[in-house]
Amino acid sequence: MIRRGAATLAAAAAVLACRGASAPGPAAGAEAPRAATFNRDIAPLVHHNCAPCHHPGGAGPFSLLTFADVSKRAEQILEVTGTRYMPPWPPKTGYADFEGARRLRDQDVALLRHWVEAGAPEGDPAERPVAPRFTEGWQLGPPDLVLRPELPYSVPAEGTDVFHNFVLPVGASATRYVRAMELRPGDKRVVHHANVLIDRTGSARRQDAREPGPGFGGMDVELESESFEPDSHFLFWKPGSAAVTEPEDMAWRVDAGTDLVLNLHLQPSGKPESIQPELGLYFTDRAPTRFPMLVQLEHDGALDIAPGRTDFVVTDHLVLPVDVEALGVYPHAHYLGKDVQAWATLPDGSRRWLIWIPDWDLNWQAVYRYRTPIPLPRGSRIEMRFQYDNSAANVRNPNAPPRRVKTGNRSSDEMGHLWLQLLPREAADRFALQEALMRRRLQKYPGDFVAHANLGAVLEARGESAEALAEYQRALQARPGSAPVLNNVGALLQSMDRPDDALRAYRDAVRADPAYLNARYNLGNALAARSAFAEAVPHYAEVVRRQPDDAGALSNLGGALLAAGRAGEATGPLARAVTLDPGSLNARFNLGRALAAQNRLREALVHLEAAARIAPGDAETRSALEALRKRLGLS
Amino acid sequence: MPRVALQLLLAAVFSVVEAAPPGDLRPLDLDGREVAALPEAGGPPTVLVFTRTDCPISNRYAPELRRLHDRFAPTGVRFWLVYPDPGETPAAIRSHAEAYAFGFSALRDPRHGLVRRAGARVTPEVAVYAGGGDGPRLLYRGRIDDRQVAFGKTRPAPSSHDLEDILAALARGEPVATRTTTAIGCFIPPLE
Repeated sequence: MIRRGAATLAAAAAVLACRGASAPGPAAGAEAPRAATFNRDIAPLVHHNCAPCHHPGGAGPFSLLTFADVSKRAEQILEVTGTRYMPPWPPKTGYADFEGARRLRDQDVALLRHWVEAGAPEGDPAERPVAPRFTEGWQLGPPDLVLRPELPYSVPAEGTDVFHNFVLPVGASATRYVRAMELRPGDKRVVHHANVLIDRTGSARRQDAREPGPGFGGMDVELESESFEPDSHFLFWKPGSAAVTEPEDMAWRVDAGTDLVLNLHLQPSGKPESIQPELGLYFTDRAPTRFPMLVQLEHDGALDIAPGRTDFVVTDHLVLPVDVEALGVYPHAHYLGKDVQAWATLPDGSRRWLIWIPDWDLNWQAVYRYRTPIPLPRGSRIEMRFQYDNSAANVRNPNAPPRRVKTGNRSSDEMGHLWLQLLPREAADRFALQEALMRRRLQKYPGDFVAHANLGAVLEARGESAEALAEYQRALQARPGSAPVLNNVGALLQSMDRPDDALRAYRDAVRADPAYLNARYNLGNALAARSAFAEAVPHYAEVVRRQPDDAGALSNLGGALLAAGRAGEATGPLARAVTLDPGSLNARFNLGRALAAQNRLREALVHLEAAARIAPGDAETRSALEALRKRLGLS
Repeated sequence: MPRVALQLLLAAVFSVVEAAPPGDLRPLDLDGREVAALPEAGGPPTVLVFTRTDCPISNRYAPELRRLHDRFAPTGVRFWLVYPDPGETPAAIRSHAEAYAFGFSALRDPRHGLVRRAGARVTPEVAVYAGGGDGPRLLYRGRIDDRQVAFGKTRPAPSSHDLEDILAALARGEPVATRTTTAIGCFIPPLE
């Protein structure tokens, strides 16, 4: 099997978990003549909107469940609901309808005011509703797998917010599908929100290794992706969220070697805090049948904000090449962001709002899922418009005095990203979407390496080999020594039946980056394919040295050693490959033959028989098994 | 003229509130003993820091308060943490003050003698008293600094260090005019 690598830059994937709790019953009494009471009017409002965070053990700093809790803080509640600071729900009402919306209506705030002005009466005990109960532990019961960083992370007592990333190896031995994810952040009052990213290439591990201590810093994480991902999900947690549950047919995949990257926004609390979050995964046997895709609008290249500017605007757009449904949206800007808008103009000229956040606040950034998916027909133009304030009047401005700000992942830099989770009708439509995205990217950034590399991967996946090759070559013009692209070129040439050119490309890739193991592995295979086994051995051996549990490389290393006449050396790697992957035909077959070559006939029989069970019709296995049985006098 | 009379009456009530607290409204230490927290005539400048155990805004100020204490206590300034919520027990206050390492003593103000006298509305809020000839004189009441601009709106760093500037002026022996600012924080609930 060819191992791919196309340096796609994937960024955040996240999921909102707020359940689509329905709005509480009509805020009865707002217009009614009778006086509002806690038991009848206020408790339902508070239980629905406040208690999900404000309960014992919750993320809120105090509980709001009982009459005593609420009446004591009545003035405070009036103040923070009046300014809409609480409950935190930044999207403007009427500009897309989201699950779990917690914005109080004007009449709810008026009701609270009437109640406080009337002396905050408790009311009739008979009308007192039962306070909601909140599960202390895992919301969905014990997870199938719990991941946690080996060491806790220390958050200093003071200073600006901290953005930290933990790399959590899933440790799966085979592909698993995740139907739900839950984060227990350790201290909910310190962890403001969290994103989980899926890293299939170990790139976060490499970033982690460059920084001392557990994890690495940074508000935004960029991961390499080795191929065009079939699906992508928002895996986002914020206080008050329940578990992040996927629709039944949209589980997400983890493979052997997959890492999850926990991207945390932490707020110093006034005393040193030690946090050790836990990530719980719930598996399903059902592979996904629907594949949503995260599509990003951005124009980081245009983000260059002069000090003092109050109205700097960044826009981007994409014309959809296929019909999709929009499932969710995740806008992201830093501290200069002021007004965030996104909408779609449909082919009939009508406008569908996707989100509007009129007073952007990074602290409350979140993934928002549409209560009902928004259908966007082919030809719709999706658009974002972010406005920034880089003046001293913006109290959140991280620079005093303001300075010129460009894009970057430090909190003093800026960003303008709008992620949409889109669900195309057909699996193949995803390629059309990816192609449209990359062609749009080339309009923004002519000659861009990432765009050409990704375009090459899309075209190759669609079987347009010559066009794909041309795109890879353009990518290599932008970045001549890119080992992943050279490796992809090798794989593509191999599929085009050009083995000599393929071999050359793999050699170039290994020369460009001797540590790039996919190219090593593929070069080994290409050499083995032309019977240059002795030459293939050191490349496989290098993969195995760096990845001792790589069953495929172990099997191929053993196979190459055996074919090179070094049966004794082959036994070790083959036995290890069989242990790791007992169902591997090649490892079983070659181990049997290696043992037979060393006259370990009884042991050989076990593995050749196992090979015959794995592939009963395989002629080579059958004849090797017959020959062995003869030698043992069994037939 | 009933209207005028009513206004006069209100003013009278107001001035009573502003007057020195009756003796039974003194704050208590964590062992329940009454404490004379405000400076006597000629006594040291005194800072009251109104706080509570569960207010994230005041908790975040703990390191800054400790720094101010460490800098100005040696110049003779006294610092008190004042917990105005009668529902907060001495044990909870003790462990809170230790966890956040304020570095100075805590008082309970369950009868709001200090709250009313200083006119504190929220936590964190500070009041600075000088030990004047006629007893304690309020020099400053309000925010520690201007980091917190509104609920949910903070500057990455303060641009005005109100408390520090006053204490520094006192330490230099400069005259300080009485002033107040608006503190942003968790409301101090009125007594039942």
